[in-house]
Amino acid sequence: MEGTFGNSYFALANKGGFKMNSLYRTMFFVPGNDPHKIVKAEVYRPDCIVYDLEDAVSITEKDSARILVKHALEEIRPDIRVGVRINGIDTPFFEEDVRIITPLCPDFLRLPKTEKPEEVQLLDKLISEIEQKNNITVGTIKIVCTIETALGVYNAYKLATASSRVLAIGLGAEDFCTDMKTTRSADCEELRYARGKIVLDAHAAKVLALDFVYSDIKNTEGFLKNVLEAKQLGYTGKSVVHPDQISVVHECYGATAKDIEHAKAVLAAYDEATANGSGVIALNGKMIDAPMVTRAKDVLAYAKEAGVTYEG
Amino acid sequence: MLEGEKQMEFSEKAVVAGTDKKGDVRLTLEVFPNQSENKIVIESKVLAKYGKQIESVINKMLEQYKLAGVYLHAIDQGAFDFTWKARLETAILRWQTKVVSK
Repeated sequence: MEGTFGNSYFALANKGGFKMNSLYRTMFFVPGNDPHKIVKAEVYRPDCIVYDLEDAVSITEKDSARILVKHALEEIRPDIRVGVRINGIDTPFFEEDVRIITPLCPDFLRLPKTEKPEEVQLLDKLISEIEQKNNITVGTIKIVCTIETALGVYNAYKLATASSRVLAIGLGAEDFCTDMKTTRSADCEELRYARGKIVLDAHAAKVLALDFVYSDIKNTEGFLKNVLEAKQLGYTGKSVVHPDQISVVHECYGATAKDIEHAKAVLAAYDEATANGSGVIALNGKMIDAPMVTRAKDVLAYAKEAGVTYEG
Repeated sequence: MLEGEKQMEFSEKAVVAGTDKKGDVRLTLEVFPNQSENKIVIESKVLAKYGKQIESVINKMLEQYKLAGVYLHAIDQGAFDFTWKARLETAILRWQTKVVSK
């Protein structure tokens, strides 16, 4: 059985044989041309760091950022998973980004403005060529698709299934609003459909669903609400741009002591009923069915990955 | 490597890489192919402690690109080795693009 973020989730996150925890609760964006921020990022302990070569880098410094990230990956690679957001396929920087960064074996390349499955396949092909030339097992480096247009949202499932390398899909809210001829609002009403479709398509395709960046950094209350909404929708993690956002996301996505106790009780009741050959399982007067057992297993597996210790 | 000398004469062919931000180093570089010696000026608060290390990083990078006659002015804001290497490589590639390829 597979749960909402359980067995399939961990299998996915471990596709690359990561040595770290297999959660992708936070993807922390770090400007690719800022050495101080690159060095410091690890200290905040996100689940994953993304060196950004795209929006955070001015057009005159694309070469400089690419070379800086190359040397950072070579010499000070953190003990956290690392990805690189490359420039879009329609830019003159795309191919050089892929050619320079791929041999350094980042955990994934994050492709902006992904709209069509052919784009994912083109990136897949290019990565495969470079992996082969550099004696990297083909398929090691994953792809994360950022969807930032109406067409991209429309094609989300096709993008997620365009290559076995696709690890996750997520919405890029600012560009999406521009494409939709609308603007961001506090309650994110304009993103409701896209947010819902992307998380659905991600789960249908068995890839991770990453929620969008919340850029109003000072609005901690709004951020917390936004994270909880995403989690409730089924998102498995969030892109973040400020260190203060990391612990909030980890806390929201972490299993509470109450969750863990309940999960343990569900599994204990299930094990007892199975041992006794009982057809009906109940806990505190409530029926326990298969999805509840799956969710209980997910909670304990997730807590373990997040470093929460518990007995039993 | 020259310390303390802050004036270097560059032509319009010189290239710049890096910034004055914390943890970075800003380089101005020009190559005079008809000269054999390098002239390197570094402004850094950590020169006394890390000068040899910085010099070694610079020399290795210049050797890697087989460059001589290099004029290099660096203003260091506490850059790590990886940043020095990256900014040097950027400056060299920019110079090649700007001058050599034309």
